[in-house]
Amino acid sequence: MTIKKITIFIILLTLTNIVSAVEYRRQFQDYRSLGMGNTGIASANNSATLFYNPAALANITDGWVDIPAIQATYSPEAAAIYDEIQKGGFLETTEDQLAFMEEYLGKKIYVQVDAGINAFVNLDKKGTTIGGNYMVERILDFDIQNPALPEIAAFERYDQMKLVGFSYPIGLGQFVLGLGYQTLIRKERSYVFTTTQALAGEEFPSIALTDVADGSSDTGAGYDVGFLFRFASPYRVVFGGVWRSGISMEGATNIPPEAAIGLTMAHEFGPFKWVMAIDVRDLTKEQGSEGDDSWARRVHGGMELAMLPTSDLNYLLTVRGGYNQGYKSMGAEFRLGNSLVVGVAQYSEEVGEFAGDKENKRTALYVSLGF
Amino acid sequence: MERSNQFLKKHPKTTKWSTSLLFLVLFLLFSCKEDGASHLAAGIQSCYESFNDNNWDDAIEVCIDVGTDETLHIAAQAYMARSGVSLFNIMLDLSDSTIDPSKIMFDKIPNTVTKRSDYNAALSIIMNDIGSKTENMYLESIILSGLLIFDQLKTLLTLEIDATTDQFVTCADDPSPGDITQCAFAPSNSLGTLTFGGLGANFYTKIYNNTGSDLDTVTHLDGIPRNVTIQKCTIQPKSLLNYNKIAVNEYYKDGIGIQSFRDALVTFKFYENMDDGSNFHRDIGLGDTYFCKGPGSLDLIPVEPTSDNMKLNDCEILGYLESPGF
Repeated sequence: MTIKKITIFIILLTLTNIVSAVEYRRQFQDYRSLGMGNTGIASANNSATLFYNPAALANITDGWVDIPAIQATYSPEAAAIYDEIQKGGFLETTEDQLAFMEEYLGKKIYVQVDAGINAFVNLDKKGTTIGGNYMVERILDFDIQNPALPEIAAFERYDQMKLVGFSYPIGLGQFVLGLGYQTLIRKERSYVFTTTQALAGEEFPSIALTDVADGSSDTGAGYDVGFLFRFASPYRVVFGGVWRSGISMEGATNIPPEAAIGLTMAHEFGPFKWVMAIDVRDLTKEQGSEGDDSWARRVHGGMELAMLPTSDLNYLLTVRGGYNQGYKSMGAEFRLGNSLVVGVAQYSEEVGEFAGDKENKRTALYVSLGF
Repeated sequence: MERSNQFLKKHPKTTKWSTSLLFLVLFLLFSCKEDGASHLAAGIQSCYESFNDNNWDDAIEVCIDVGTDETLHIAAQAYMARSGVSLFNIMLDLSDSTIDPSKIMFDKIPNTVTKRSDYNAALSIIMNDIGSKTENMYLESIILSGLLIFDQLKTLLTLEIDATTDQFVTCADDPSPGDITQCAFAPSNSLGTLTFGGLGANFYTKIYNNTGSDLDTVTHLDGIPRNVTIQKCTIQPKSLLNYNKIAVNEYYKDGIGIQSFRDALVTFKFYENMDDGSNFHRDIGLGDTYFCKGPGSLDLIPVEPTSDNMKLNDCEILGYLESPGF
């Protein structure tokens, strides 16, 4: 790397601090939870459970292995990135860079791909379950802003996550304790690519699918402690909570600690099951900008209607709806037992500073094969 | 086993509808959006959003109110955008070596009081209010100060583009290039009386930001002592010329500015071009009447050095006006 490139890189990193990063960037949020307003503290029951609450593993009354599980999450303008890549490179020429900035000015382009393998097994019907995930997550997030002098404020991240956890019922089975442990390898970078840089003929930072070139990186580990309290009710009312220790990193962005609670209930009638869930996340307000006291950004609510059961846990078809940070969400799922799961969720992420400030619509598509 | 599964048993006190109602109430509460937030990041975000939505007036108000370097820069850019300055187009054109940079800038000269006010406001924010300036800010300052100085020169030199030749023409091109005798400000000799009225109050107040309180009267010698007022004006810190000087010095430092822009903006290094350390020299009389310089290029008034003493005199400026480079 030449001195000039290093200088530019340092300038870019410095500029990063100027750009407000206001999205609550949580690790893998799955299509089911997102369809239900991103709830899962008490209601999670699928391969993403450990990302919400290890105690919720007790909701799993089955066992499976996903090889692989893949989820793609994207904003409406994400096709622009695909189109650029189809040209044989990404914003390789000055003309491409300027045209891209002009065309997508004011837009936020978001692409996230999660892929991995998951394994869960329930050891008894009382709620003793163990499981684990090995996942990689790649995020590309472009904000094209500044009508006076367009610029691309970019954020990239590559996470490699390994999670293990278990749930264990205590006493009469009403109370469930869950423990989880995670190791994380994180690479990321933020930069601003300006019109002046484009006009000066500078190259747009290269983007690779499985790496973040020139990014800062670090590794870390954290643990989660969760609980469920299952009320004596035919409607399966469950109150849950979790404390996530967070992961401290020096070379990359920390995962802040989080305390969260959730409440869920389920009605079963005939071939249907109706599940409702409400979560309050980040109770200690670690996420977001300094001074962000918004509760509306931290509450989530949703429900699902599952149809045609194929087992205690699985239904052939499910539709979902909810509110995530003040925005509607919806989703659907088709499931052939554990061998094929296809899911979709449409939701909005708040990328401003309060619920209702700046909406970024996204779609999550999920498919897993397994047994 | 039996005891462990007790939570699954029916509980007569719990009703389906009361529990569902609780969920629905919570659900409705949670679906609410908020009207705003008061923390700093929310202000910054609001500044960006107004700006990105092209709401210039709102952006200026909000961004100045937030008052960080970042939002002040946005406010400056909103002032520019409101007055029709498209930095994007200017930079696009400046990067095109086939287009004369002076013509690019000529088209952007502010032509209303409101636009001049916005240009000045944007420049003042960048130069005076922003603590830590970036390369782009200096580039913007060169452009803004350049356009505002260009505006004054346009008037002074009756600058225009000839529709036939597509070339700049000024009063200093008539009767021959570099001859300022047809310009309104030109010194003249009438019946042995040397007359020079200066460059006009606007030039000093708008470019030097000097209202004239420290103008010097210099005794002019051309063989016969004559008292002619030669303005030896101090450039004020908050003046277009000083802003231009500072921005140029920073942008042209090694490793800072982009070369194509540096090349294109040479004409707009106004301070440097004006402060060339030499006096205007022209025989304006009938054999023995000289102005600024006499026979043998003898300086008739003291030359202002090219050092950063922040002073320029009319003799230096007249030399610049003879051949401004566009």
